[in-house]
Amino acid sequence: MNIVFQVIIFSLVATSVYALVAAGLTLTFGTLEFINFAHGDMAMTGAFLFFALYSGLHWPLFLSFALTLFGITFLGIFIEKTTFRPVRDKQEFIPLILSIGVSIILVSTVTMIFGGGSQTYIEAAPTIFHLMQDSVITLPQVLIIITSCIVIAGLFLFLRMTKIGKAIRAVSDNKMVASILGIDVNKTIMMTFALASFLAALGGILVAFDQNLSPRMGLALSIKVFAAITLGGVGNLFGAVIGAFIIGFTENFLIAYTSVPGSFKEAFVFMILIFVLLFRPYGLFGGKKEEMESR
Amino acid sequence: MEYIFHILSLMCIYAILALSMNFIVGYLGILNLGFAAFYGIGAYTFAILVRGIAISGHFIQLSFLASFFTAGIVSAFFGLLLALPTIRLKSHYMAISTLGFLMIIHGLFINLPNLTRGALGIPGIPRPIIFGFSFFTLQSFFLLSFIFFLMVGFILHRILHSPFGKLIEAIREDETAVKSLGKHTVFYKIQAFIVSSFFAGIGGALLASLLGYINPWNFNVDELLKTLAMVIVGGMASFWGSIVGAILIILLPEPLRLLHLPPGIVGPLRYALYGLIIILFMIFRPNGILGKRTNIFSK
Repeated sequence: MNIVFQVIIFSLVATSVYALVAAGLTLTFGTLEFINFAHGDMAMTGAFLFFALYSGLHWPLFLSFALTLFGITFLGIFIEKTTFRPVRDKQEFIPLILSIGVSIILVSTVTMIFGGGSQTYIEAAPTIFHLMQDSVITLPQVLIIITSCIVIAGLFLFLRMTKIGKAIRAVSDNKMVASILGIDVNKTIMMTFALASFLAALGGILVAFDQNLSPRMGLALSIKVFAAITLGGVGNLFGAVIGAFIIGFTENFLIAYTSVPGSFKEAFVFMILIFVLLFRPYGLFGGKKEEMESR
Repeated sequence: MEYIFHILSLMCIYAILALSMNFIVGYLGILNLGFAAFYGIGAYTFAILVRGIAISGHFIQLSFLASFFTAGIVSAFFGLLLALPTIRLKSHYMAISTLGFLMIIHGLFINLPNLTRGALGIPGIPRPIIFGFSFFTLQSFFLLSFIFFLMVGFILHRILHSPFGKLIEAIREDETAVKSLGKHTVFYKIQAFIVSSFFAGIGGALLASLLGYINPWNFNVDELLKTLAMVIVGGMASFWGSIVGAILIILLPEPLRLLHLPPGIVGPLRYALYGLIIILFMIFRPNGILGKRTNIFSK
């Protein structure tokens, strides 16, 4: 039996989700210059909010979907205004540690409401497409891959074409120059945060169509996404997508072709990360700005 | 009454852990998110050696004092192992790599069943007998952990006020300036990692002995947050701050017991409290209760 196509499908599904979440994280890093520890937990909170609306209250799919995206985007703006804005000009680790605090509060709140166990809204028998030989793909998996491709492509265009997108890139390049040119830095950072939370919520909902939900999934997601953006070079959107590819494919191929136990795959991902950083300390595609600054 | 001595012992142990974490995070200025791995390694080494283990036909069992010491040494060795590839990385790359180290060690605890019994954890870790004195009761164990705390505290205090300690703080303030004075800063940073992880290992060994049972989930990100909260509340780069922080953070969730909430709520609520404390301190008093007014983490 040839499982290689099946493994590629699983890898693509994982990559799609990681790329969405990583894109948001790397955008916030670009403008705020810290790694937002709570980013994966925003995705987790989004997945649970969707679960509550869709499976709990039995609201229509698209209404729950839209309300979740809206709600998490709003939550992102709220968190940025109340917690990250006051410490924006402090030293770089202060917002990082603060985001760890935000992450704990999100996880604890969800655990208090839904309990620590796993939940699911996966249909018992989803529509399955048979591809070549023994490989199958479910309808949700197809949708995950398509949605992710469209959103990531849209994001690239958004950052290049629109006024807000250009403002976001300007602010991540240099806050002071951007503000001299009349860009409202506060508003742009808020927009970045809203965009990142939107992407995280989307990633969270999508991952939950394919896997079980648990309050712990935020951390697991965060960790892989950290590895992805660090591999690509933090702050670099293209690098984040490539990093997501590397992480998504590595972990699935490891599990399929080696005897590495599933609980050890995060550890392996990080061994690769540390190994890459040994030779490229600013990641594969990143670091021009940082190298200049450290000189 | 017994319970009070349990809390007091925890305070001493966590003061040791907070001090050794502060050594790296506060004094050296590197956010080491892998810290929980080191006291995990200490705890596991102690538990394995004290209970005895068969390696290639030989049954190896060490005395309590030797086990405590070996726990520190093994943990320090892993500190060196982490520092060697990562110490040159800049700020957030370092933070993420050290977090990765915690994941790797956590993965090892789960996936080395011959050594660590995997997810089952190690039960029946005995309280120590040292020089004929047994520390079985919680009162006597508190005495033991207090003695350890005094020793570790004294040694760390001496290290921090030695030329080496001053150099560590100078590296935090301006690494380039220290380099310009002809100091090999990478070498000193690695030394600082070894010192910090050695004492973390000893603290972990004490924790294993107090709890009597350890499993891989005793040493994951949640545990890390607890120690991090202690260092932050007490104050970065503040010796007495870490001790105050450890006492406060251990006491913090205790009033929750009086509210008689269901156990499913109490656990998450405790972590939410840690999170809230971290957020409030970072916004309003990033230097903690007793922290110095210097710019730690400026670069």
